[in-house]
Amino acid sequence: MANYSRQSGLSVHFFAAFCGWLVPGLGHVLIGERQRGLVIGLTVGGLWLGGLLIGGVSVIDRYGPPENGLRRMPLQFLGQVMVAPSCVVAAVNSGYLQPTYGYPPAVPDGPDGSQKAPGYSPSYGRMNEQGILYTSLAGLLNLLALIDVVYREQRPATNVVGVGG
Amino acid sequence: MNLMMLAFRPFLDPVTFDGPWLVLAIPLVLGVCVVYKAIKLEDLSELFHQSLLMAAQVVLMMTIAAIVLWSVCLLM
Repeated sequence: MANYSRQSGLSVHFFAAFCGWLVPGLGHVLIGERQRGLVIGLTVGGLWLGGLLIGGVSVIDRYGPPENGLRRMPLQFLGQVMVAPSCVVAAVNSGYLQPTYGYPPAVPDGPDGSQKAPGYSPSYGRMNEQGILYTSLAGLLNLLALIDVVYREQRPATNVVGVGG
Repeated sequence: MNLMMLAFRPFLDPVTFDGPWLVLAIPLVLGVCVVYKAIKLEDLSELFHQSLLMAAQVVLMMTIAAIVLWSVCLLM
């Protein structure tokens, strides 16, 4: 990693790191590493979207399968939340989208008798494993990028966020 | 291609993949290597070659480890 420079301003780096958590790669862009940020953003974003495509949105689950009647936060969720959009997906899954079971998926009637679109189909087996692996690794890689943003020396000639302060 | 693929909803339904699932590990390894090299390298002009080289090394070592562990299981 590049040399740590106190003159760059820790607050700038932490703000850039927070932005990098919101949008992968944005942290590096804000400190002047545009090309690096673009590569990281596309790769981390691609892995995250790939995981969702393989396993469906059910791979991001704040509560794992019930064990002895209890549902605990699975360990992979800690990796997945290192990418901010995972929190959005988890919130939507728990509140607004309901899983459908059985095939073909049932279309439940709404309270007013209208047809409601079914929610998501949960994934099982290898596809679920691969989806979780992709999204969790995307989060951990984003964490690595965030740490690099905090300690990387800014480029004063090309940075977007002002030096110091 | 059967008609049920028309009912597939991207991101809402999981993908049906009947092939060797280990193939899915290759893009994952590539992604990890690209991000790692993008952070480590000062000159990004070598990113492509360095990432491919590292990914090949990772896949090779994982294959060797799998063969060794499989052989150990066979001997036991």
